[in-house]
Amino acid sequence: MHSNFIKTLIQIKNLKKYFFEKTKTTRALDGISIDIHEGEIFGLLGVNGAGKTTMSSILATLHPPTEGDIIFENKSIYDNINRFRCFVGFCPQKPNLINDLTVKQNLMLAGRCFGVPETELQNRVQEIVSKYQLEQYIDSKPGVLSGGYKQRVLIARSLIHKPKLIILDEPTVGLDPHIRHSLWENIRDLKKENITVILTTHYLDEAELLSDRICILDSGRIRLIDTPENLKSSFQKSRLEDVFIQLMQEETK
Amino acid sequence: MSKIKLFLELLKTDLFIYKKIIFDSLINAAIWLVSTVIIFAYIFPHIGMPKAFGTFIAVGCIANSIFWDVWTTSTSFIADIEGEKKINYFLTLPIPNTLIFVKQIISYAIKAGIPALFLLPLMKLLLWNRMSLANFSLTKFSIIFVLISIFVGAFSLFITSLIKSIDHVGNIANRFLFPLWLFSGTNYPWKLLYSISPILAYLTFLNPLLYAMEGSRAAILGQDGYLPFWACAIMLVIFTFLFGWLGIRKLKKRLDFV
Repeated sequence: MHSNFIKTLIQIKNLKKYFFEKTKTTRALDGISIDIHEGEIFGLLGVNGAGKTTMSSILATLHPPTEGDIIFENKSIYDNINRFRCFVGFCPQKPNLINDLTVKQNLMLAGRCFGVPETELQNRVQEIVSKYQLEQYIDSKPGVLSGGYKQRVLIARSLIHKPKLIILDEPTVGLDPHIRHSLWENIRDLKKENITVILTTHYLDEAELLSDRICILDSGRIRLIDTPENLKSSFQKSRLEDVFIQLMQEETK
Repeated sequence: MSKIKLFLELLKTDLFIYKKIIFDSLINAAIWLVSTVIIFAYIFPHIGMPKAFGTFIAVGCIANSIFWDVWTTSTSFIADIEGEKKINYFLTLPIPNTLIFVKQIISYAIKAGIPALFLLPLMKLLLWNRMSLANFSLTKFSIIFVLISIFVGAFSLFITSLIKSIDHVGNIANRFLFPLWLFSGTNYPWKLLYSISPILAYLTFLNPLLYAMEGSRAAILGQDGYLPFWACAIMLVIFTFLFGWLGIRKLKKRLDFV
């Protein structure tokens, strides 16, 4: 599967993020370099505090890195960050929808903010609402929606402008199994549309099932990066979870 | 979408949301004014206070009403930073992040200003013959009204940047906002303070709310007895830039945005 992806969408070069406090410095990311390929689902795995959310926030341009660069279309994204933002959709871990607006109004606002022409916006909203089965909630405020539906609205909102890259930060955390499975289908569909997905998760089954490549982060550094199949075969394990456990055990030794 | 269009779209959304609570804001402002008028214009004269004192205090309600919006907006912003983090969504939109905060300032200014706009006609109705508008200048009033509102928008951002967490909101109010308010001349003209303690009077030049109070009274009641109107206007502009810049700088550090 991996060999099919030949075009690099973004290059992450020696990315570092340090948090400076009075008495200590936390190295949340400590020299990450990865190429993310166009159209792949790239799983970011790691224990709590490994740097997954920090990395996805930097890629979403929410926070600046302390050092390093991200290259998109042969240029640093920081040369014209607003242009890069137009190509990215970001679903944070915590739903941050505007609760005073209805689902439809949230989607319309996102569309307008990302420059979707007014003539296309209504159709685009209809299309995405139907795709994520949100019809019955279109006039509801996000506050009344269940966790699963809030996540769907978040994904829908981040896709309204047809981004090339979508960053999903723990999209299924705390959701019931059947809702998780339904969201997995939605994530697989993104791949079919050639949208590159960066999927941050600490559910190993989810990462194994969905990802074309997996990157295991540990204390802000890349521990391993490969396809799930290659990871399992090189560790002679049948499940990714066992690979992960072995890695963590090696770490504690 | 151009940056200006996006800026206006976000501002429009803020005002659309505000529209739903505008009636509540009007009632809140009116309750403050009506209570103030009853106490200072109709009860205080019976304990020997001059009748003009009621008008003097009532006119201050306009600046007060705008100023105390700082409390509401800062609390709601801090609650968002600690809770849902809607601000993070706006900080990933294709617009320079500084403009998001400039939008906040303008949005706060409009939300604080709208209810106060209705206070002057209501005040005239309540005070009627006790309030003379012979020296009222519409131009000056419009200028000072806009300047106070924008200053309060910028000041709200600065105050938000000072609040460590939602639990500390009370500290900021008690240690910062109340002293500023009490020493702003809300209950006395600056010239009276100067006649009692020139040092204290000069110290209050550091209080931006002083210029809001004195400027609005000069515009409504006439220049006589108050600090020069244009000096107040200029000082408000200076304080707006200062607090706006400080607020954005401190929030940039706190929210760690690009």
